[in-house]
Amino acid sequence: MKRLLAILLSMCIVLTMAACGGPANPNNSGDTENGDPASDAGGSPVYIGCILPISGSSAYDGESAMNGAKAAAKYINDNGGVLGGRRIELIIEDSATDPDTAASAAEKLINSDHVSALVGGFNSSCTAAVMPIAAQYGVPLVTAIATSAKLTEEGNEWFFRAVGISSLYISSFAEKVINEIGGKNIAYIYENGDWGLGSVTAFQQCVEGLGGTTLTTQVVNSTDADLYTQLTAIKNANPDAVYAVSNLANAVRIAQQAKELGITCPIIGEGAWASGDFLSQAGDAAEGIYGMVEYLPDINTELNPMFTQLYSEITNGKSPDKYAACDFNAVLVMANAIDKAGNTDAAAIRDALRETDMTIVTGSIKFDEKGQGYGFETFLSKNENGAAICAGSAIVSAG
Amino acid sequence: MFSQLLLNGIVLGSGYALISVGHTIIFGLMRVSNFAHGELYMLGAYLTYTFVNLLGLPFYAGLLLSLLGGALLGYLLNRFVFRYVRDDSTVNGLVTIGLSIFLTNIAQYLWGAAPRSIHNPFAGDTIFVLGAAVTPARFFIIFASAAAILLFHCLIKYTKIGKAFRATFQKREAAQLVGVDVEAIYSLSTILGTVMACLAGALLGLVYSLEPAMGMKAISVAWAVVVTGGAGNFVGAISVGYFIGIVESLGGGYISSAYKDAFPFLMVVIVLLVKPNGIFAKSGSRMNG
Repeated sequence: MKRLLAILLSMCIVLTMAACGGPANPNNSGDTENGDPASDAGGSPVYIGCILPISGSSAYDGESAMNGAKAAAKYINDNGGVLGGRRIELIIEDSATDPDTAASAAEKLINSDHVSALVGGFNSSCTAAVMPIAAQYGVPLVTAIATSAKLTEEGNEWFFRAVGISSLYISSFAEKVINEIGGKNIAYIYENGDWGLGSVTAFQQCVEGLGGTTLTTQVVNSTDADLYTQLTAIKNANPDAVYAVSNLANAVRIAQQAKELGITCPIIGEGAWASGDFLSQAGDAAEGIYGMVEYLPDINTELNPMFTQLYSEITNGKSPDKYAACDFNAVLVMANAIDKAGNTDAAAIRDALRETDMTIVTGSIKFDEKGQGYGFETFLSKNENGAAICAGSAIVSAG
Repeated sequence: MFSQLLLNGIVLGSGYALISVGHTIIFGLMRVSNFAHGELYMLGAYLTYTFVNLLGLPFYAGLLLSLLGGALLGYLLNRFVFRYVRDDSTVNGLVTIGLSIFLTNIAQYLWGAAPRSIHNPFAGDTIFVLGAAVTPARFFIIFASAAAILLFHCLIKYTKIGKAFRATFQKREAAQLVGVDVEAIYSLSTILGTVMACLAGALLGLVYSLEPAMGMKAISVAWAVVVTGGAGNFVGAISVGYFIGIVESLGGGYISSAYKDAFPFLMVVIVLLVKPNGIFAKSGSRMNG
């Protein structure tokens, strides 16, 4: 009995070590995504490291982002790959929605897998942890989800952001909220963290610049299940509109509990307010809520039909959400830069990223000198009859 | 606004009290530092979700089945884990931390990371009581928790099992001498503790969304409540549970929602400075509530 236990235990240890360590050969470590083997002709694949929250509090959205990235790799490989026929291969690492884990993942991808470039980071806090490592080793990093304004202000020349940040489009939406949707007196509620605070501050400045007032600002902590306290304070302030910044779980809670408490003014949200999961989980409570979103499945752009179809193929019929679209964009931008660079030299890829001028799912994209992308569209959605429809859009302007 | 915040606090507090009663049994009496107690709460919610949403049973049947599931889980927990580690609080702390991580990940594997919610069986709109909005589901939570707590209190105070229960945790050897089957009592108390946690999960799952990591907040509050109330003291756990819910709600509403979670713990720090054995502790012995 004891011997059997000892054998079992040692097998467990060996298996764990095998799973964690793995050989240095990138073909065997991490979760590599193999596309179509037919296009293998053009030499060794180009490895791109993807750091995404596959577990932890952003796990669900992280999965969408991962599928978006895989869809992009498939699209590129099906269309001849990069650098004259070399395939793109993604090595996906879990950030566990934790900055420290994200940083270790970046170290592993760079030093052990020898990736040519990094994509992802997802949460602003995780991306901020990966950025100095990318700079230290000189590896280009493209993120398309982290939207804390601070990231592009750090002067990190290896960092590029292929998604709009609130300050670049929020003024046109703020104007719409004051003049058409709600009114001048706004209440705020946001999910605690860099992202929520940044977005609320930006919106507040625009609203106050246009003569509006802030009635109350409420914070949702990640562990809060009950938001009655915050929403009671909002109801008590009697606002013309509520501006809410939140990911899926809290967005559902805010919508449902606001309805229960009898808050009837329009809610305008940044975050998960237009996703299919939000609509199905919040049910009736989702109706009439506006969202500022990076992507909607029904938008009318050049690449969108191809993207929705490809995504559906990869995920057995799912409709893409903004996380999927954003990481699709990120991988597309990175692959384009690698191709333009002419080789996998990090500095050449970085220089090619600076010169980016291409089409992504949400329009065309260029980068400014800080690495912030601009030129593509971002959207205002409204939930009607269980679906998010496009109720307007704004171009992400150059900073 | 005050009446609304107070009512919110009572709903929050009902959950905290239920979770803490379970934690009081397992930690306060059995001396098992159960860091996985929050996960028992989480499993209670997910079991109900499985029976009601996935298998389509009526809510009350689903609730009953998940409580039975909780009882089975409690039995297994005592039989295969606690029995071997219960007399060493360092070891049982470490074992239950591992168990907590394991259960969170199992839940994510089985039910996915997406937040879920249990089908609300209570039709009808929000009712307004003295200017405070309450949904029927929230009413149900308040009354069901109070009923469960009362039932538990009667079980401990007025039945023969309750007597054996108290005897075991006051002096195990003496109880054994007078013929109490202490193994059975240990098994029963783990079952009771687990069922209480599962009940809390099933009830709060009606109004909160379910996530695999939802046990984290629950366990930190449960620790605060049990320590503040005095380990092993039920009156303490129940009153502090409700009190912390109300403090959290009022503090969050009137002072700052950013520090909502901090208020209860601030209170714990103060209590521990003034009365290190907990508010309700008398002479440091167990089972005196």
